Amino acid sequence: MAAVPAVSTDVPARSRSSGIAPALRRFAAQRAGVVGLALIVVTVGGGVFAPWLTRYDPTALAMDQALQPPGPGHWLGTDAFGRDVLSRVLHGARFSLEVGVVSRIIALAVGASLGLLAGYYGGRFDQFVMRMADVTLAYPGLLLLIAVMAAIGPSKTALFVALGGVGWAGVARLVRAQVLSIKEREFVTAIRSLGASDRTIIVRHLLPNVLTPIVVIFSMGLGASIMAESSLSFLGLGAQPPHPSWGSMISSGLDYLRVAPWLSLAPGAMVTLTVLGFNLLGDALRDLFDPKLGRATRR
Amino acid sequence: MFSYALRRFLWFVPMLLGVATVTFLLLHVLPGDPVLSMVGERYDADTLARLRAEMHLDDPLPERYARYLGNLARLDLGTSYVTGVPVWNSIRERFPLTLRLAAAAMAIAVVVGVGIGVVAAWRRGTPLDYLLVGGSVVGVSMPVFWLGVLLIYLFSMRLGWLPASGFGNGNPLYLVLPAITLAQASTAYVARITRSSVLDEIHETYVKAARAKGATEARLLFRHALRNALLPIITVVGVDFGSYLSGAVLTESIFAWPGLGRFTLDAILKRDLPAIQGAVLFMAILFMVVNLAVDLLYARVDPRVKLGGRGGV
Repeated sequence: MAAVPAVSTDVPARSRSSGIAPALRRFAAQRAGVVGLALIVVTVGGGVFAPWLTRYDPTALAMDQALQPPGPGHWLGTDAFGRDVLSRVLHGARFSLEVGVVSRIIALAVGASLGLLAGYYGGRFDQFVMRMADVTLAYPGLLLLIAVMAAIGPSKTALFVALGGVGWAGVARLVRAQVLSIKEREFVTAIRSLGASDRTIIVRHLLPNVLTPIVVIFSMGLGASIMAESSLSFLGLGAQPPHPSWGSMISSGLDYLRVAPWLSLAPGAMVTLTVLGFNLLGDALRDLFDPKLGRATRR
Repeated sequence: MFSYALRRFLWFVPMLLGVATVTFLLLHVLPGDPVLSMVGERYDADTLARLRAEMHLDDPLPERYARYLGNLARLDLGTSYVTGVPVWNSIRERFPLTLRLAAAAMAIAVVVGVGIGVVAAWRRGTPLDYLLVGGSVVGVSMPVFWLGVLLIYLFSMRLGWLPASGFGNGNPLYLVLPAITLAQASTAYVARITRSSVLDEIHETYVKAARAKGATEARLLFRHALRNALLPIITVVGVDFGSYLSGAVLTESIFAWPGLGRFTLDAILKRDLPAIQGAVLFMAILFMVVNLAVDLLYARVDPRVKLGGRGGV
């Protein structure tokens, strides 16, 4: 924002005090957010370092080791094929996080671009984009995902497409609403009167101003994406065997619930902790950056 | 008010068309062959081709779309490829079971959620408040189906108190675990909203006046603050209706509850195109109707709601 420093100092008027250090201090004061971050570090760390944290291959069969209860050799026991549950849970973290992050990036990229353009240009394009968003949001979320997955067939790419393709609408609505309020502000008028092009205004001035809500909905949406992915995998519409995924592990463990409850309990606990982490972090970020965002980010 | 309602109704029609079109397009790019999944590989190529022709699967897309819309207008959702039963009949048969489950779940969500929310607001800042708020955050983060698994493990396998699955010919014992499962996310959500709405109201002047008059804290909360906080709570329960429909697919699949959710999933696993299409469309439209009703109710009950902005809330 080097173009008009005198005007753009107005922009961060919303934040109580600027600078990284005070922001970090305020964040640290929110215990829930710190707990959320810690949970994320543990689950993400477990996923990233999975190959080094466990010596078992998550897909290697060992029938003589089948259905071992949790103990010193296998901390979380083994499944009906003798596969180490801890190793599968950790590798499942990789899958869930990968699907969550990639699909959220797709949702944000598509949603934020369309929201920016729709909000800035208005007119027919705006109408079209918003009507598409309305139709997307008219479905109960998981139901549309189920229909999309049924249509393209279960695979990792399909999960990216489905979760991204359904998630864009909420982002677009939110970003558009922000743009509508920002574009009438004086600094935008000032920049425009100085001869800035549409492109400059959108990329250099509007985008930075909608980044905060984008960060907040990224965190909240990531939890929701992970939840949706595990639901789809649970229904058999997501990850396909032998690939470890939390949702499919819970569902295949159901057959052994009486004799080996850890098969379903362990992956379910992981989903809960991970989603909890992102929800707590998202709540904390929202309170930190923009309390007004409130209910708009939830459905 | 009237013109707002009228506008919402007029808007409803193109939205319906949009949802019908998206559902159609989604399912007609389906790569699998429904004829093969219907009859298996027992038949020769000629029979398969004849069946495809009978089911109009080789017609051009626009033609199929036009026929689909025409049938839809007559409430004809087609016939299941698998059972040969008209889809609309199956939906009419299955939906009451889902409604029964959803109603039980909603009752649990409202009673328990409001209870937790008010108690947390009443004891705000105490360990009890933290426990309840923390519990509701965990509740929102816990997968519906996993709670179902936990409940089955605990109450039917370990303790043997309740049946784990099925409908049990309407025996209410069979309703308990699925209803709790389906209620979980919504309960947690209602609890959070109740707590924050009650706390918002507590700072209003009328509550201060009531307190000055000597009303007890419990009376303040339940008679005064909660009453005014009810509106956002009702809205939340209504808007959350979609989570009951989505949740029904998961819950019914765990508990083998023979409702619409289970029907949808079965249809998907068997690639039963008309059944998937009908069920998805039915639930989407139901969700839209409920949302419309909530918006209108909200606008009617709270005069402060601006009627201008479409899709407010």
